[in-house]
Amino acid sequence: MPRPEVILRGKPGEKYLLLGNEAVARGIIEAGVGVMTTYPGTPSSEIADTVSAVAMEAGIYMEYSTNEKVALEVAAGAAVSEVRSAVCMKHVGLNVASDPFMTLAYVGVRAGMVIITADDPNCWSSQNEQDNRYYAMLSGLPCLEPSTPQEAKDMFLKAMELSERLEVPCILRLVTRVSHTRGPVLFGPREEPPAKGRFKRDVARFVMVPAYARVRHKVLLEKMRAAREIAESDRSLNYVARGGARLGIITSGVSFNYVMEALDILGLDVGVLKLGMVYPFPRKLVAEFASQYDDILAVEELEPYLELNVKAALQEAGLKVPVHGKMGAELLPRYGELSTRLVVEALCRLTGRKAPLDFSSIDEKAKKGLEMAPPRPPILCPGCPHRASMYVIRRVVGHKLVCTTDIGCYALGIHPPLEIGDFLICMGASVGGACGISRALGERVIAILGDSTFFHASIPALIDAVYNKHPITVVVLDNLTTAMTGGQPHPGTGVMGTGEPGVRVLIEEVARGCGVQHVYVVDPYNVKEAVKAFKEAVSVEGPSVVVFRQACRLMAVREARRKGIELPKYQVDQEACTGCGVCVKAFGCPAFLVGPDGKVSIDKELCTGCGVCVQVCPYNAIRQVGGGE
Amino acid sequence: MVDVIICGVGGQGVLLLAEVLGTAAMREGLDVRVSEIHGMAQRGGPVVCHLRAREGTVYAPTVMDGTADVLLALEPAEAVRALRFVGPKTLALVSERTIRPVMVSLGLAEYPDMEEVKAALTSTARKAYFIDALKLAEEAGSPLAQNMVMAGALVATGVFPAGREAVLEAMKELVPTRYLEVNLRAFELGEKALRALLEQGESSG
Repeated sequence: MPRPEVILRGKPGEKYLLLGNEAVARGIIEAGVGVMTTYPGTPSSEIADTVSAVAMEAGIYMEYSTNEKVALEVAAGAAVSEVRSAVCMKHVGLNVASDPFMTLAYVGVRAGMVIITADDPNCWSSQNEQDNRYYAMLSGLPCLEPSTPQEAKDMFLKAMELSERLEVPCILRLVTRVSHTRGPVLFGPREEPPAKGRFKRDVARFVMVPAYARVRHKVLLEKMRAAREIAESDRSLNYVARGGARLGIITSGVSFNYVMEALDILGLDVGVLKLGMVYPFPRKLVAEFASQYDDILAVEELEPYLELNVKAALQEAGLKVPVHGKMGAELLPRYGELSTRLVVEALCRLTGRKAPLDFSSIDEKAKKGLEMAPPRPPILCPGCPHRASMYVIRRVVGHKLVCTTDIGCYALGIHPPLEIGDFLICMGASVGGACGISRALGERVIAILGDSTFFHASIPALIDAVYNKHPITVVVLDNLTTAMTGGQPHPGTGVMGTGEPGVRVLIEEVARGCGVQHVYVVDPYNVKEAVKAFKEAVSVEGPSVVVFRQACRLMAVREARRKGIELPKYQVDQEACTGCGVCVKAFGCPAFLVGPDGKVSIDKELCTGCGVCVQVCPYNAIRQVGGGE
Repeated sequence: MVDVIICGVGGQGVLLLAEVLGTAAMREGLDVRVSEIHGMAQRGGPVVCHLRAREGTVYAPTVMDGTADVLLALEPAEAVRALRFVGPKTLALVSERTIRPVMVSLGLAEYPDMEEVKAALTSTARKAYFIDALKLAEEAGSPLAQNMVMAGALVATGVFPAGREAVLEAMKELVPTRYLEVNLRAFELGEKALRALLEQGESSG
């Protein structure tokens, strides 16, 4: 049975090896969530994708919202209407959703609502490694932090319960090594989602005009006090995992695992306080724990969130126990992921012990290995339409114009030979950034972004370009899916999260509706036509939009395989190939193999038959050798 | 207990291999963690998966530097890229067939010499075995079954705590039905190949 179906139909008492994200999806199903929303983003994506795959059967309304702000608002709408809801996103998604997030804390909810944020220490697939525990402090909303896939499910259910008890949304903070770690997960019973909610009007509670907002802020502070009591007393969340002498460790989430492992390796007699509820901070519990030790070490990834709060708690209790961590002696790094080794090393430094392994000789060997292994940056797939689009851009404007880029597969275009992308900070910023750069330089700037990204956050900036006459050319690489995160639908696909047909929103119509006068739609696989349109688009006055439309090749190949259609294959005629290398240097498909004589051939396993190389070769040396299309 | 590093290139089926092995270990009653990195995995980048299994509790989701019991590599350059995890107790099982990155085709980087790769691994690991897993996978019916050739090789070493039957059961649970037969054949060929290497006492060192 495919995994999502196992997650839906698995019976109480059964155990499966699930990703943390899949475990949360099971939690959503067990909790009887009626409305689930998201905007996809690694490392959170599998939560919503799993729910999406079984939504109809489970009776859950699931949607891929236009962006995280909308996703949070939709989930909030359900929860104030007495339907349990969940919204999930990657860490930076909460920045997009931060506006409704902050004030939703004031109005609260009537049915449980869980906001799931998946943080990405080490930037495995993200543009930053912000620590969203601070969002809990900023908003006043309770925050739970699981250590394992099993806890991810259990704490989702707990977060739902707390949310209902306190009538505020609750945050579940995951990190990559919880979201993307598999562990045994024991299934519990399922609650059925309600057929329908109801909305009871209460203007003073749900309409945040200043007079009511002032009152609701005080209500939130009262709820925070009640939540703190839970953090102090609920031993299923915050508990002493082991006792010890002299040194006490305070830790949470994934870091707890490294602590326990490191203590085993070193055979140290050290106390451990595990915090599952990191906000509100259990100040009394922490002070009581700390009072039994000579020294305290806070072990956590990224920011010294626990460390700061531990120091505040001890100050409040009048305790003078030294607290170690990232500040001061910097025993642990403030960036990247933790590991057993980093915790072992920190403990050795603090206790004056010798390291159990010669880490420096391991580093030396590792360094040699890394030098030996050739760089293998993730690349655009063979046949990727983005490669063809970027080839067209390069053909027309060379390296003369600044090209801003955006969040998606096409960011991989920065690598040779295309080397496209000069500015990238967040979703949609390609367009706003291009406006400013073009103003500063007094020349045209190209903004490159994907279809899903276009809908997500670029439209206000596009209107800005029209309104303020910024000379930019917006290139929308429309591959008809949200590719980088695994192929989720978006408004431009017209497919809903439940799998039902929705209404398709066309990018070119949105652009025209925003007032863009020059809008082009081209197929990047047709190089000649695409070059012609793009040339025109960069020579007009004011802003222009070019939609390069061609399906993600991974999706197209999968579709062809399912339908039993044989895709064409291409091969280089070795007689005709002069070894000029243009195809490799200007286009750079991973299916090209360069022989010792400089002549090129095509790896038949890798070729997906896009046929663009035929149009790139100046000597007409590339021929179709099989398949249809 | 066992700590395994499984590595390869995106698209080689590293994640499925780890899930199969992890599920087998769980069904044998062990606690298991399999730590994966997604997102870039389909895009031809390096993929490293940590698999830890033991009686009692597995805490850390990742293997500590220098302490892997097994390095299961689907590509030789990826095996040396993962050298950080290899140490004196590591048994390295490496598929010999290379996948050259685009940087190499472009002449911007060099693919290491195979003898150098082998020397780096054999001098760091307890023992290293090199297998032409691609050839065996093709023999089984699909080049994509290389991952299960390596699963067979791992089981044949006897280091993995889940037995042959448990791994085959996990394959039946997780491999799509239409690929199952090819994958089971690939598993057996991997097993056989490693047994032959063990019998001959042949290693590259």
